Amino acid sequence: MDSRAIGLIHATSPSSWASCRKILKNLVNCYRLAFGDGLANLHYDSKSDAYAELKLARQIKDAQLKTVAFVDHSRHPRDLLFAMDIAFGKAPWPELVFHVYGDFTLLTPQWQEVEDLLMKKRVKFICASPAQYQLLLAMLSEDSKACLSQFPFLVDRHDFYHSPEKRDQFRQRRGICANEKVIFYSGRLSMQKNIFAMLDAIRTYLNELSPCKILLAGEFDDLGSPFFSVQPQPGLFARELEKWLAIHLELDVKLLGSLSTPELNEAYNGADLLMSLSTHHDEDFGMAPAEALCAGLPALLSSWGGYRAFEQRPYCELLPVKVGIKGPTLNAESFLLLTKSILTNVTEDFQRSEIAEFYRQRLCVDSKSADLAKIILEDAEEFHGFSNLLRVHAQRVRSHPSGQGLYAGEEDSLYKKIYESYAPRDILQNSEVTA
Amino acid sequence: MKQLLTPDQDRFMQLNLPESPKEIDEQKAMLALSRKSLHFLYRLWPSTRPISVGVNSIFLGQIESLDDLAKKETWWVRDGAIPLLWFFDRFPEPNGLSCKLVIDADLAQLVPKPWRRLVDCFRVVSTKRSFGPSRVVIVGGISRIFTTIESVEHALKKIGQYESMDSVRECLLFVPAQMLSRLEESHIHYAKIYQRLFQILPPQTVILNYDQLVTENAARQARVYSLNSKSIVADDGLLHLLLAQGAAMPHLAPVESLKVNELSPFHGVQYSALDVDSPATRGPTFAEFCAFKQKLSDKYQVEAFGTLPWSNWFHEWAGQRFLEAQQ
Repeated sequence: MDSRAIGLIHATSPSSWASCRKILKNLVNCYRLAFGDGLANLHYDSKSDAYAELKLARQIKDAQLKTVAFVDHSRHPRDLLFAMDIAFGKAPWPELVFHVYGDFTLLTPQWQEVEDLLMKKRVKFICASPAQYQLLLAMLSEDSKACLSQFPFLVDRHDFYHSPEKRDQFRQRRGICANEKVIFYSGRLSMQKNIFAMLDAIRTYLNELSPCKILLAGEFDDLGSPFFSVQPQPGLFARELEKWLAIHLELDVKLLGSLSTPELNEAYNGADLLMSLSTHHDEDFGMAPAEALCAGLPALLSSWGGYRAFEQRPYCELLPVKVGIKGPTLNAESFLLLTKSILTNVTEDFQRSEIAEFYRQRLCVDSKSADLAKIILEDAEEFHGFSNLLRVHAQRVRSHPSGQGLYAGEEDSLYKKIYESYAPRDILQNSEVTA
Repeated sequence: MKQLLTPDQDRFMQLNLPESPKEIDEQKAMLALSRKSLHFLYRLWPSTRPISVGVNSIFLGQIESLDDLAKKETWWVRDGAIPLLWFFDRFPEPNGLSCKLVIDADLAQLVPKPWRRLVDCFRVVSTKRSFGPSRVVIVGGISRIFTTIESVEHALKKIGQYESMDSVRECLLFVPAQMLSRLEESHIHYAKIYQRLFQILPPQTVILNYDQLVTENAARQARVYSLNSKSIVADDGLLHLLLAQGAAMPHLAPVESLKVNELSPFHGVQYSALDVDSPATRGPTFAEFCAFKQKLSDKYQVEAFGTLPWSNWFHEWAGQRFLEAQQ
């Protein structure tokens, strides 16, 4: 196959989301490995105007590409697709590949706008996790479901790996005793990530988990939960956390701030358990768990969205989640059992090495390039439109700028319809528990 | 341990109100704030920002059942005509309730007979004249929830009764972004409202953001006008703040015989008994509303106005009728 037949569309300016920057870098590297360095990299500026887009569209046409892959999330492809419509006229289009990110639901109006344009074109939507695959399945018409594929976001094996030396270095530097367990969280320190729920749960069972230290790495944000109309004032999350920590002095919590990739790798090696109980609607994959697991750190995750695909007992356990019309809630019954089980059973170096190997095989750039090539080279199916659910959702988004209050109505079942694929069905049916 | 871990968003939902912590605690102790009522307060901020009147202030959308009202002896009701009518429609009888509701005096006519013995009135008044004869601050939401072209015309006409725009030296305009929607048709609505505003307001009008208005105390010694009638919010938290900062309404306390309870050096409140026949009270009556609703029968679907708990037809009817009564 002519390696130039694949065009990668990505923005010249990096995304403001740290995880998306990593995802893009690793995806592009995977494409390079799969198709050689001769790939056509087609850059577009995230602020480019209609004329710049038309020039890019003409460039795509002139390159006679077999496939155009949109690998970046920083800009929705709508405007470029409109420009391609002008540039291509009646000429046949290349196959279109869209790597889907967590904001797909928020961008349903833009997707609806290109629905007619995409009709009968050969299209692939590539989801990063099985849960997101299910979410999109419900958003596509029956005839378009074959347009859906799944391929994970990737980890660079040179960035995240198992290293007993790094474990020792980290623990020594942080003054962590040999018998002390380190529960580690990495990611945004945000209301979206259920940090307080996690700390509450640990505090409840502190006697049984002691001695333990909790390390939180990441930057604060005040994004809140706009879909549910929860918009904290600037600095509120940090202030509340500070207050909470000042009251609960029995808990040994340290905030590490934002860590560089080498520091993060060292921390993953030095810790004993990665814990992330996020039930955020954008949790379509989970880069932090992916990286931690590739470094050999066992994990307790919420059974939510992309996290669910990481489950591999006893190394990665999932805490049940229930999704209702008021949003997701975490079932705490098994919290102690699962946390204790990991902290007491996964203690040997060979186990951590086994974890790292298992996930590196499944998530690292070089291990997955053949799979990516297979997906991309397979003929794409014709697109025949979205489902009514997408249209209903798009309509809802239009009336809620930036998703503000999108699901805030109390009798709103749209949230459940959209996100029920993010929590397993058996939990949905069997967890009618009350607080 | 409880079986469910509370997601962080539920924890923050309680902290997220544009209220002072003390008010949140008081309200949490008294009322379960539903997501819907929080959303209502949030969307209409800063009109819904807290006020300090010495009585428990409330928006009636926060009431789930009449038992909630039994928790206090007196409630300061901040709602405008539409939510007030909606409340009386939900609860036509007080059912043995003995608490007092204090409502804006301009809405007295809305109170149905069974509730009248429980209702008193308030009127927010300026107690000092503004010094700057030519400084004007105009505030108000321009979303379709609050305004129509007609209601803006009415507001401008009212401003014109007190101000000659030619002689206004400084005119400041504040439109809360929180209340704006990005719907396509809303843009057209906003454009029309702005177009009309700038046909009337002097060319040197400056548009302010919230910080410039409040933090920089821009309204001090200015006369303040609202673009909004009392259709949604009768007792506007932003107006209270501006008045407390030294802005003034164009007229002083209207009823000389009534005592003014001071809320700040510049404004206060007058209490009065409910007088449904007073010429000062205008607007549709509850009986009119019932008759209109009867006429509608089941013809209209109850289609909620996005963030508001009542239906579109009711919103439009009550808003229009209230406006007509004001003219």
